[in-house]
Amino acid sequence: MICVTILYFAHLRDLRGCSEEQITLSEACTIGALFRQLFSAEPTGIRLAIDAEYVEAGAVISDGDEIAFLPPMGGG
Amino acid sequence: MIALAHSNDEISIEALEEAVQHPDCGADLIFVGRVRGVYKGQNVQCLEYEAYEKMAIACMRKIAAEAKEKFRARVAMVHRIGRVYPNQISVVIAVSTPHRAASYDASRFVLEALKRDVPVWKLEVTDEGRFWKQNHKPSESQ
Repeated sequence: MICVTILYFAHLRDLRGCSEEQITLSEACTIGALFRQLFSAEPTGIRLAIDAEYVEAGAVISDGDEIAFLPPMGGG
Repeated sequence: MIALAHSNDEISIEALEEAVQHPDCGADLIFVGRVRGVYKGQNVQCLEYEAYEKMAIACMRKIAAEAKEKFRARVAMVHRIGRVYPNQISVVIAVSTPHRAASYDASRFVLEALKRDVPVWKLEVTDEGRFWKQNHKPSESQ
């Protein structure tokens, strides 16, 4: 079993209805697949991070990871 | 100095400039970003900034290191988090380089990298409603 924490920001938090959740996966998957599973959509325009580092959609999730889905930025 | 300043924290422009000064550097440049009161004809009541804070700080440090490598620039920056009202400061970037040309290039480099890569978001609160507002590429910005 793979337990991960997922962080949601900005409009993705509004869509998901929470800023953070723990989920358990029965087997390893990519971060892109996890996004598709949760939002029923491709992560177009969304940047992905594991443990506060940018990763590509094909990065494989490991037990204990902190996953973040990052909508287009608005800083500055 | 690389930091996020929450709504009640003071941002000292002088402290940022002091943080980058060095005897080898003859050109300091300070960029101050402020909240506009009107955007596309709508009155802006305030912006509400949020961040993935630990990643934002790590990204800002990485950008500062890149600017040092690329322009020999010493960099300090602070971004406001929380509610910010028109004319209040949202971001300050201080750079110091040996000569003036590099300071302009470094300041622009840091600002554009911050807008592109630092995980900060802003909710724009206007008379018409509340909207998540995303940054445009430099070529699309006004």
